Amino acid sequence: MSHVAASLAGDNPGPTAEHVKVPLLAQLLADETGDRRRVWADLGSAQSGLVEQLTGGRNRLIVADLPGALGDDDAQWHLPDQVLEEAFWFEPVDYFLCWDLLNYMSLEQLGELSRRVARRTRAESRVHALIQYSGTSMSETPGRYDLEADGLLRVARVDARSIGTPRYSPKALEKAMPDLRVERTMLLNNGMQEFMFGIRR
Amino acid sequence: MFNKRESNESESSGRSNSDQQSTASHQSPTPARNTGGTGTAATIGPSISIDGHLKGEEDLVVEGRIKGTVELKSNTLTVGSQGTLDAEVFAHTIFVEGTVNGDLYASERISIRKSARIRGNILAPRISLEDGAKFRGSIDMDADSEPFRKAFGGKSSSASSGGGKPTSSPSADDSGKGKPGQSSPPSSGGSSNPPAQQPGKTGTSAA
Repeated sequence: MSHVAASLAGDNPGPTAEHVKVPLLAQLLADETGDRRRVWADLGSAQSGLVEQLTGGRNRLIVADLPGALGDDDAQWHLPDQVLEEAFWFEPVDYFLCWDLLNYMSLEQLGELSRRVARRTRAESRVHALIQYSGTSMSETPGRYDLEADGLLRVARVDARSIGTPRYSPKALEKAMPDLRVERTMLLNNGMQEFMFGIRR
Repeated sequence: MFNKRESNESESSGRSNSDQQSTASHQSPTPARNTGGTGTAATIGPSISIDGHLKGEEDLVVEGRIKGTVELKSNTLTVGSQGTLDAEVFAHTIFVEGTVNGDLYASERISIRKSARIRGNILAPRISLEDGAKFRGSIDMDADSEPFRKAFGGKSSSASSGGGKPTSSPSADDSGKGKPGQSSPPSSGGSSNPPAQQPGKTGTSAA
């Protein structure tokens, strides 16, 4: 049993990490040739792996650090353009990376987020997210994610305490986020489901 | 060293120039230290606070506070672990161990250490970030982007396919026009003002 699985099962050994394959994100990164300027918005905390992956290409990475805003007890922690003022969003975002943050939002918050995200994108933009689908509990606060050189994602629990998972289904997510449509999903080996959303126009 | 640079500093805003120079001249400059840049560097010690436009041609380590603009176009700036910048910075290479609220432009490289706390835009062709660093803002690695070209010159984005190395000569074009979110530059009074984009300065403290 992996450390994360052990945590979810209740024998919580404290903050842990494991590596998972994220095929949809890996494909997205592989498809980028670096010829065109791309704007990425990472709603999670700053991570060295993603910066390394994007260095060398014509990339701009916006880091909203929503988990940091959650720590500030801000009622609008889930809205990237509240956490980062308008000036940072002066050009459309090609890719939003949500990691596990959607699991920590209510249906109402998901709706608000989808409206804000759609407003900052272009028609061909994509939104990537990881949703808990099999476990019944998850870290009380969002995890830390780091892309590694081999394309694996290092997923670290940052909180030994657990809360229940909403286990949002693709249908429930589409209903809650009417501005997004589910394009592809993949079940991952750590109890999460990887989502790639397109933008409804 | 620090005293040698006084004639170039403190061109603007906030406290009067005499106040600033007085503050600086009564402090013993912290001994020079090697930054890994071009050799030993001048140091602004923890008790020193500067409000204005700082410009120079040698490496600099900041352990004190600077508010305004820092321009070391051919040199390395290190924001030490005790350093705090509420400033727009233009340098060849920038290392951040402390706190920055503002935009950082480097013609070569920006390295963010794990102890860093940054809110703002950072622009450089090569950027490294250590896990544990607190950052909120944007990281622009496109050397052909408009803000970068305004800061350091270089080729037109419409005529290139990326990866172009900028020169290290700040552009005289500081209008910052045409982009939402760009505000007016600080009133440094200098003749070679950097571009105007500095959204990080409108926010609160570093995340």
